[in-house]
Amino acid sequence: MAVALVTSYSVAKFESVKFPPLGINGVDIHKPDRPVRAEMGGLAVLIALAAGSMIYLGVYFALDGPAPLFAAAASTITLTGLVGVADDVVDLSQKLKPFLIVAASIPLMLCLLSRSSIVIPGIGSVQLGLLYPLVAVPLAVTTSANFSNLLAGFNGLEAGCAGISLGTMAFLSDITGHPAVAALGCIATFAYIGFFMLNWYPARIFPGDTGTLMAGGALAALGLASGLEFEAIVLSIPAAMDFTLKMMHRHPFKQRHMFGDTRVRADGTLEPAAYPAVVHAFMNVSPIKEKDLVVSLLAMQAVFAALAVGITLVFP
Amino acid sequence: MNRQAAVIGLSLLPFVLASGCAFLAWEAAAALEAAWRMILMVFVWIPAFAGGTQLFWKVVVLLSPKTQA
Repeated sequence: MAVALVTSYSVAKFESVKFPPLGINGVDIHKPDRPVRAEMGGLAVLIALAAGSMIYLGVYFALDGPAPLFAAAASTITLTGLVGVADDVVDLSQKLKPFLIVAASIPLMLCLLSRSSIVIPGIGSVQLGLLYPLVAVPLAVTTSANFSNLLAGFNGLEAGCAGISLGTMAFLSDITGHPAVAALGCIATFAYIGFFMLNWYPARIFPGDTGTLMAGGALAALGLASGLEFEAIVLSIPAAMDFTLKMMHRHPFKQRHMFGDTRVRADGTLEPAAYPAVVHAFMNVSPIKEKDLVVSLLAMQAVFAALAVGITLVFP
Repeated sequence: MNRQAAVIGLSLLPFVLASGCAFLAWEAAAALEAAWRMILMVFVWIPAFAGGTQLFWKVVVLLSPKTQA
Protein backbone atom coordinates (compact mmCIF):
# COMPACT_ATOMS: atom_id res chain seq x y z
CA MET A 1 0.00 0.00 0.00
CA ALA A 2 2.83 2.35 0.90
CA VAL A 3 4.54 1.41 -2.37
CA ALA A 4 1.33 2.21 -4.30
CA LEU A 5 0.90 5.56 -2.52
CA VAL A 6 4.52 6.71 -2.96
CA THR A 7 4.80 5.42 -6.55
CA SER A 8 1.54 7.04 -7.61
CA TYR A 9 2.44 10.41 -6.06
CA SER A 10 6.01 10.38 -7.42
CA VAL A 11 5.05 9.36 -10.96
CA ALA A 12 2.15 11.85 -11.03
CA LYS A 13 4.52 14.63 -9.88
CA PHE A 14 6.98 13.66 -12.63
CA GLU A 15 4.18 13.60 -15.23
CA SER A 16 2.81 16.98 -14.10
CA VAL A 17 6.15 18.55 -15.02
CA LYS A 18 7.21 16.49 -18.05
CA PHE A 19 3.92 15.87 -19.89
CA PRO A 20 2.76 19.43 -20.77
CA PRO A 21 5.87 20.26 -22.90
CA LEU A 22 5.37 16.93 -24.71
CA GLY A 23 1.86 17.96 -25.72
CA ILE A 24 0.16 15.54 -23.30
CA ASN A 25 -1.93 18.26 -21.72
CA GLY A 26 -5.42 19.69 -21.35
CA VAL A 27 -6.99 23.04 -20.49
CA ASP A 28 -8.58 23.44 -17.05
CA ILE A 29 -11.78 25.00 -18.37
CA HIS A 30 -13.28 25.58 -14.92
CA LYS A 31 -10.73 28.25 -13.94
CA PRO A 32 -11.04 31.89 -15.09
CA ASP A 33 -7.43 31.91 -16.45
CA ARG A 34 -7.83 28.47 -18.12
CA PRO A 35 -4.39 27.04 -17.22
CA VAL A 36 -2.84 24.15 -19.18
CA ARG A 37 -2.20 21.04 -17.09
CA ALA A 38 -0.74 17.55 -17.68
CA GLU A 39 -3.19 14.90 -18.95
CA MET A 40 -3.17 11.07 -18.75
CA GLY A 41 -2.24 11.18 -15.05
CA GLY A 42 -4.02 7.86 -14.59
CA LEU A 43 -0.81 6.33 -15.91
CA ALA A 44 0.71 7.04 -12.47
CA VAL A 45 -2.11 5.05 -10.84
CA LEU A 46 -1.63 2.24 -13.37
CA ILE A 47 2.13 2.01 -12.65
CA ALA A 48 1.53 2.20 -8.88
CA LEU A 49 -1.14 -0.51 -9.04
CA ALA A 50 1.09 -2.80 -11.10
CA ALA A 51 4.05 -2.23 -8.76
CA GLY A 52 1.97 -2.81 -5.61
CA SER A 53 0.33 -5.93 -7.07
CA MET A 54 3.64 -7.44 -8.15
CA ILE A 55 5.14 -6.93 -4.71
CA TYR A 56 2.06 -8.44 -3.06
CA LEU A 57 2.17 -11.45 -5.40
CA GLY A 58 5.92 -11.79 -4.86
CA VAL A 59 5.53 -11.83 -1.08
CA TYR A 60 2.56 -14.21 -1.07
CA PHE A 61 3.53 -16.32 -4.09
CA ALA A 62 4.04 -19.37 -1.91
CA LEU A 63 0.42 -19.21 -0.71
CA ASP A 64 -1.99 -20.92 -3.09
CA GLY A 65 -5.72 -20.24 -3.06
CA PRO A 66 -6.48 -16.56 -3.46
CA ALA A 67 -3.35 -15.77 -5.51
CA PRO A 68 -4.90 -16.65 -8.93
CA LEU A 69 -8.01 -14.57 -8.16
CA PHE A 70 -5.82 -11.65 -7.06
CA ALA A 71 -3.72 -11.94 -10.24
CA ALA A 72 -6.81 -12.21 -12.47
CA ALA A 73 -8.50 -9.15 -10.93
CA ALA A 74 -5.24 -7.14 -11.01
CA SER A 75 -4.73 -8.13 -14.67
CA THR A 76 -8.25 -7.02 -15.60
CA ILE A 77 -7.75 -3.66 -13.85
CA THR A 78 -4.36 -2.99 -15.47
CA LEU A 79 -5.60 -4.07 -18.91
CA THR A 80 -8.57 -1.69 -18.52
CA GLY A 81 -6.03 1.00 -17.65
CA LEU A 82 -4.09 0.19 -20.82
CA VAL A 83 -7.30 0.62 -22.86
CA GLY A 84 -7.52 4.05 -21.20
CA VAL A 85 -3.93 4.83 -22.22
CA ALA A 86 -4.76 3.87 -25.82
CA ASP A 87 -7.88 6.07 -25.61
CA ASP A 88 -5.84 9.02 -24.32
CA VAL A 89 -3.18 8.61 -27.02
CA VAL A 90 -5.17 7.74 -30.16
CA ASP A 91 -8.77 8.64 -29.11
CA LEU A 92 -10.45 5.25 -29.61
CA SER A 93 -13.87 5.13 -31.26
CA GLN A 94 -16.88 4.70 -28.96
CA LYS A 95 -17.71 1.44 -30.78
CA LEU A 96 -14.25 -0.12 -30.36
CA LYS A 97 -13.70 0.82 -26.70
CA PRO A 98 -16.32 -1.56 -25.16
CA PHE A 99 -14.88 -4.52 -27.10
CA LEU A 100 -11.39 -3.76 -25.81
CA ILE A 101 -12.71 -3.57 -22.23
CA VAL A 102 -14.50 -6.91 -22.72
CA ALA A 103 -11.12 -8.31 -23.83
CA ALA A 104 -9.56 -6.83 -20.68
CA SER A 105 -12.07 -8.75 -18.54
CA ILE A 106 -11.00 -12.16 -19.97
CA PRO A 107 -8.57 -12.98 -17.10
CA LEU A 108 -11.39 -12.47 -14.57
CA MET A 109 -13.87 -14.43 -16.74
CA LEU A 110 -11.49 -17.41 -16.86
CA CYS A 111 -10.80 -17.27 -13.14
CA LEU A 112 -14.53 -17.09 -12.27
CA LEU A 113 -15.55 -19.78 -14.79
CA SER A 114 -16.62 -22.12 -12.00
CA ARG A 115 -18.79 -19.50 -10.27
CA SER A 116 -22.43 -19.56 -11.30
CA SER A 117 -24.45 -17.63 -8.72
CA ILE A 118 -24.95 -14.06 -7.63
CA VAL A 119 -26.02 -13.02 -4.14
CA ILE A 120 -28.72 -10.35 -3.88
CA PRO A 121 -29.29 -8.89 -0.39
CA GLY A 122 -32.76 -9.73 0.91
CA ILE A 123 -33.31 -12.38 -1.75
CA GLY A 124 -30.33 -14.70 -1.49
CA SER A 125 -28.26 -16.65 -4.00
CA VAL A 126 -29.57 -16.79 -7.58
CA GLN A 127 -28.14 -19.37 -9.99
CA LEU A 128 -27.15 -17.91 -13.36
CA GLY A 129 -25.06 -20.83 -14.67
CA LEU A 130 -22.60 -19.92 -17.43
CA LEU A 131 -24.31 -16.54 -17.82
CA TYR A 132 -22.31 -15.39 -14.80
CA PRO A 133 -18.74 -15.77 -16.14
CA LEU A 134 -19.56 -15.32 -19.83
CA VAL A 135 -22.07 -12.43 -19.68
CA ALA A 136 -22.25 -10.85 -16.21
CA VAL A 137 -18.47 -10.48 -15.75
CA PRO A 138 -17.62 -8.68 -19.05
CA LEU A 139 -20.87 -6.69 -18.92
CA ALA A 140 -20.13 -5.46 -15.39
CA VAL A 141 -16.53 -4.44 -16.18
CA THR A 142 -17.49 -2.65 -19.43
CA THR A 143 -20.51 -0.88 -17.94
CA SER A 144 -18.70 0.24 -14.80
CA ALA A 145 -15.64 1.49 -16.74
CA ASN A 146 -17.79 3.56 -19.10
CA PHE A 147 -19.98 4.92 -16.29
CA SER A 148 -16.99 6.27 -14.37
CA ASN A 149 -15.73 7.89 -17.57
CA LEU A 150 -18.85 10.10 -17.62
CA LEU A 151 -19.04 11.59 -14.11
CA ALA A 152 -15.76 13.49 -14.44
CA GLY A 153 -14.14 16.76 -15.43
CA PHE A 154 -13.65 18.61 -12.12
CA ASN A 155 -10.50 18.80 -9.99
CA GLY A 156 -10.32 15.83 -7.63
CA LEU A 157 -13.67 14.33 -8.60
CA GLU A 158 -12.56 11.16 -10.40
CA ALA A 159 -9.70 10.29 -8.04
CA GLY A 160 -11.80 11.15 -4.97
CA CYS A 161 -14.76 9.03 -6.07
CA ALA A 162 -12.38 6.17 -6.95
CA GLY A 163 -10.70 6.40 -3.55
CA ILE A 164 -14.06 6.27 -1.70
CA SER A 165 -15.50 3.44 -3.85
CA LEU A 166 -12.40 1.25 -3.93
CA GLY A 167 -11.69 1.84 -0.23
CA THR A 168 -15.26 0.77 0.58
CA MET A 169 -14.92 -2.35 -1.58
CA ALA A 170 -11.62 -3.20 0.14
CA PHE A 171 -13.26 -2.85 3.56
CA LEU A 172 -16.30 -4.93 2.54
CA SER A 173 -14.09 -7.61 0.93
CA ASP A 174 -12.14 -7.90 4.17
CA ILE A 175 -15.16 -8.20 6.47
CA THR A 176 -16.78 -10.80 4.16
CA GLY A 177 -13.70 -13.03 4.16
CA HIS A 178 -11.81 -12.14 0.97
CA PRO A 179 -8.41 -10.90 2.22
CA ALA A 180 -6.64 -11.13 -1.16
CA VAL A 181 -9.33 -9.00 -2.85
CA ALA A 182 -9.19 -6.60 0.11
CA ALA A 183 -5.42 -6.30 -0.39
CA LEU A 184 -5.89 -5.49 -4.07
CA GLY A 185 -8.59 -2.96 -3.13
CA CYS A 186 -6.21 -1.29 -0.64
CA ILE A 187 -3.42 -1.13 -3.24
CA ALA A 188 -5.81 0.48 -5.77
CA THR A 189 -7.21 2.88 -3.13
CA PHE A 190 -3.77 4.09 -2.07
CA ALA A 191 -2.69 4.42 -5.71
CA TYR A 192 -5.66 6.77 -6.25
CA ILE A 193 -4.98 8.65 -2.98
CA GLY A 194 -1.38 9.30 -4.11
CA PHE A 195 -2.69 10.68 -7.38
CA PHE A 196 -5.49 12.62 -5.63
CA MET A 197 -2.89 14.70 -3.75
CA LEU A 198 -1.87 16.32 -7.05
CA ASN A 199 -5.32 16.16 -8.68
CA TRP A 200 -7.13 18.03 -5.84
CA TYR A 201 -8.09 21.66 -6.42
CA PRO A 202 -6.21 23.43 -7.97
CA ALA A 203 -5.17 20.38 -9.98
CA ARG A 204 -1.64 20.01 -11.35
CA ILE A 205 -2.58 16.93 -13.37
CA PHE A 206 -5.75 15.33 -14.82
CA PRO A 207 -6.47 11.57 -14.75
CA GLY A 208 -7.54 11.29 -18.40
CA ASP A 209 -9.40 8.23 -19.67
CA THR A 210 -6.63 6.08 -18.17
CA GLY A 211 -7.63 7.07 -14.65
CA THR A 212 -11.40 7.09 -15.15
CA LEU A 213 -11.77 3.81 -17.09
CA MET A 214 -9.46 2.03 -14.65
CA ALA A 215 -11.45 3.30 -11.64
CA GLY A 216 -14.67 1.81 -13.03
CA GLY A 217 -12.92 -1.38 -14.11
CA ALA A 218 -11.38 -1.75 -10.66
CA LEU A 219 -14.73 -1.27 -8.90
CA ALA A 220 -16.35 -4.00 -11.03
CA ALA A 221 -13.35 -6.34 -10.74
CA LEU A 222 -13.28 -6.05 -6.94
CA GLY A 223 -17.05 -6.55 -6.71
CA LEU A 224 -16.96 -9.65 -8.92
CA ALA A 225 -13.85 -11.16 -7.30
CA SER A 226 -15.31 -10.85 -3.79
CA GLY A 227 -18.88 -11.78 -4.75
CA LEU A 228 -20.10 -8.31 -3.71
CA GLU A 229 -21.70 -7.44 -7.03
CA PHE A 230 -24.73 -5.69 -5.51
CA GLU A 231 -22.52 -3.46 -3.35
CA ALA A 232 -20.48 -2.52 -6.44
CA ILE A 233 -23.74 -1.56 -8.18
CA VAL A 234 -24.70 0.65 -5.21
CA LEU A 235 -21.33 2.41 -5.42
CA SER A 236 -21.88 2.99 -9.15
CA ILE A 237 -25.27 4.70 -8.66
CA PRO A 238 -24.04 8.36 -8.91
CA ALA A 239 -22.30 7.58 -12.22
CA ALA A 240 -25.31 5.51 -13.37
CA MET A 241 -27.61 8.47 -12.67
CA ASP A 242 -25.36 10.74 -14.74
CA PHE A 243 -25.40 8.19 -17.58
CA THR A 244 -29.21 7.92 -17.40
CA LEU A 245 -29.75 11.70 -17.43
CA LYS A 246 -27.50 12.07 -20.49
CA MET A 247 -28.95 8.98 -22.21
CA MET A 248 -32.59 10.10 -21.82
CA HIS A 249 -31.94 13.51 -23.36
CA ARG A 250 -33.34 14.19 -26.85
CA HIS A 251 -29.78 14.07 -28.23
CA PRO A 252 -27.93 11.44 -26.15
CA PHE A 253 -24.24 12.22 -25.50
CA LYS A 254 -24.20 15.09 -28.02
CA GLN A 255 -25.11 17.67 -25.39
CA ARG A 256 -21.58 19.04 -24.94
CA HIS A 257 -21.30 19.77 -28.67
CA MET A 258 -24.76 21.38 -28.70
CA PHE A 259 -24.80 23.32 -25.41
CA GLY A 260 -21.06 23.80 -24.71
CA ASP A 261 -19.21 23.35 -21.42
CA THR A 262 -19.84 24.67 -17.93
CA ARG A 263 -18.76 28.32 -17.73
CA VAL A 264 -17.07 30.17 -14.87
CA ARG A 265 -18.62 33.45 -13.69
CA ALA A 266 -16.51 36.41 -12.54
CA ASP A 267 -17.06 35.47 -8.87
CA GLY A 268 -15.73 31.94 -9.51
CA THR A 269 -19.12 30.20 -9.33
CA LEU A 270 -20.05 27.77 -12.09
CA GLU A 271 -22.79 28.29 -14.65
CA PRO A 272 -24.12 24.92 -15.89
CA ALA A 273 -24.75 24.15 -19.53
CA ALA A 274 -28.47 23.74 -20.30
CA TYR A 275 -28.81 19.95 -20.18
CA PRO A 276 -29.47 17.40 -17.40
CA ALA A 277 -26.43 15.97 -15.60
CA VAL A 278 -25.64 15.15 -11.98
CA VAL A 279 -23.04 17.94 -11.69
CA HIS A 280 -25.54 20.42 -13.14
CA ALA A 281 -28.06 19.45 -10.45
CA PHE A 282 -25.71 20.82 -7.78
CA MET A 283 -24.96 23.95 -9.84
CA ASN A 284 -28.66 24.59 -10.49
CA VAL A 285 -29.92 24.60 -6.88
CA SER A 286 -27.48 27.29 -5.65
CA PRO A 287 -24.37 29.17 -6.85
CA ILE A 288 -21.34 26.96 -6.24
CA LYS A 289 -17.59 27.07 -6.89
CA GLU A 290 -15.65 24.14 -8.32
CA LYS A 291 -14.04 23.11 -5.02
CA ASP A 292 -17.40 23.08 -3.16
CA LEU A 293 -19.03 21.23 -6.05
CA VAL A 294 -16.46 18.44 -5.83
CA VAL A 295 -16.88 18.29 -2.02
CA SER A 296 -20.67 17.88 -2.54
CA LEU A 297 -20.14 15.15 -5.16
CA LEU A 298 -17.68 13.30 -2.92
CA ALA A 299 -20.21 13.57 -0.07
CA MET A 300 -22.81 12.03 -2.41
CA GLN A 301 -20.40 9.19 -3.20
CA ALA A 302 -19.76 8.75 0.54
CA VAL A 303 -23.53 8.43 1.17
CA PHE A 304 -23.70 5.56 -1.34
CA ALA A 305 -20.58 4.02 0.24
CA ALA A 306 -22.33 4.13 3.63
CA LEU A 307 -25.42 2.57 2.02
CA ALA A 308 -23.29 -0.27 0.57
CA VAL A 309 -21.72 -0.90 3.99
CA GLY A 310 -25.16 -0.80 5.65
CA ILE A 311 -26.60 -3.31 3.16
CA THR A 312 -23.68 -5.69 3.74
CA LEU A 313 -24.03 -5.47 7.52
CA VAL A 314 -27.83 -5.86 7.51
CA PHE A 315 -27.84 -8.72 4.94
CA PRO A 316 -24.59 -10.59 5.71
CA MET B 1 -25.42 24.24 1.70
CA ASN B 2 -28.88 22.96 2.65
CA ARG B 3 -29.83 22.76 -1.01
CA GLN B 4 -26.67 20.77 -1.80
CA ALA B 5 -27.56 18.38 1.03
CA ALA B 6 -31.10 18.12 -0.35
CA VAL B 7 -29.73 17.08 -3.75
CA ILE B 8 -27.56 14.42 -2.08
CA GLY B 9 -30.57 13.09 -0.16
CA LEU B 10 -32.70 13.21 -3.28
CA SER B 11 -30.10 11.17 -5.20
CA LEU B 12 -31.12 8.14 -3.14
CA LEU B 13 -34.59 8.26 -4.71
CA PRO B 14 -33.85 6.41 -8.03
CA PHE B 15 -32.03 3.55 -6.29
CA VAL B 16 -34.64 3.12 -3.55
CA LEU B 17 -37.52 3.31 -6.05
CA ALA B 18 -35.90 0.85 -8.49
CA SER B 19 -34.89 -1.63 -5.80
CA GLY B 20 -38.37 -1.54 -4.24
CA CYS B 21 -40.05 -2.18 -7.61
CA ALA B 22 -37.58 -4.98 -8.46
CA PHE B 23 -38.19 -6.66 -5.09
CA LEU B 24 -41.95 -6.53 -5.67
CA ALA B 25 -41.45 -8.05 -9.14
CA TRP B 26 -39.34 -10.84 -7.61
CA GLU B 27 -42.05 -11.62 -5.04
CA ALA B 28 -44.85 -11.43 -7.62
CA ALA B 29 -43.10 -13.92 -9.92
CA ALA B 30 -42.68 -16.64 -7.29
CA ALA B 31 -43.97 -19.32 -9.68
CA LEU B 32 -41.10 -18.80 -12.14
CA GLU B 33 -37.61 -20.33 -12.02
CA ALA B 34 -34.96 -18.29 -10.20
CA ALA B 35 -33.09 -17.33 -13.39
CA TRP B 36 -36.30 -16.01 -15.01
CA ARG B 37 -37.23 -14.13 -11.84
CA MET B 38 -33.76 -12.57 -11.91
CA ILE B 39 -34.14 -11.50 -15.54
CA LEU B 40 -37.61 -10.07 -14.77
CA MET B 41 -36.14 -8.21 -11.82
CA VAL B 42 -33.43 -6.64 -14.01
CA PHE B 43 -36.03 -5.60 -16.60
CA VAL B 44 -38.09 -3.93 -13.86
CA TRP B 45 -35.07 -2.34 -12.13
CA ILE B 46 -33.71 -0.52 -15.20
CA PRO B 47 -36.87 1.42 -16.24
CA ALA B 48 -37.74 2.12 -12.60
CA PHE B 49 -34.24 3.55 -12.08
CA ALA B 50 -34.56 5.64 -15.25
CA GLY B 51 -37.96 6.93 -14.06
CA GLY B 52 -36.55 7.71 -10.62
CA THR B 53 -33.65 9.61 -12.17
CA GLN B 54 -36.05 11.68 -14.28
CA LEU B 55 -38.07 12.41 -11.15
CA PHE B 56 -34.82 13.43 -9.39
CA TRP B 57 -34.08 15.93 -12.18
CA LYS B 58 -37.62 17.35 -12.15
CA VAL B 59 -37.41 18.00 -8.40
CA VAL B 60 -33.95 19.59 -8.85
CA VAL B 61 -35.43 21.95 -11.47
CA LEU B 62 -38.23 22.84 -9.04
CA LEU B 63 -35.65 23.53 -6.31
CA SER B 64 -33.55 25.82 -8.50
CA PRO B 65 -33.84 29.57 -7.76
CA LYS B 66 -34.59 30.37 -11.43
CA THR B 67 -37.69 28.16 -11.38
CA GLN B 68 -38.83 29.58 -8.04
CA ALA B 69 -38.36 33.15 -9.26
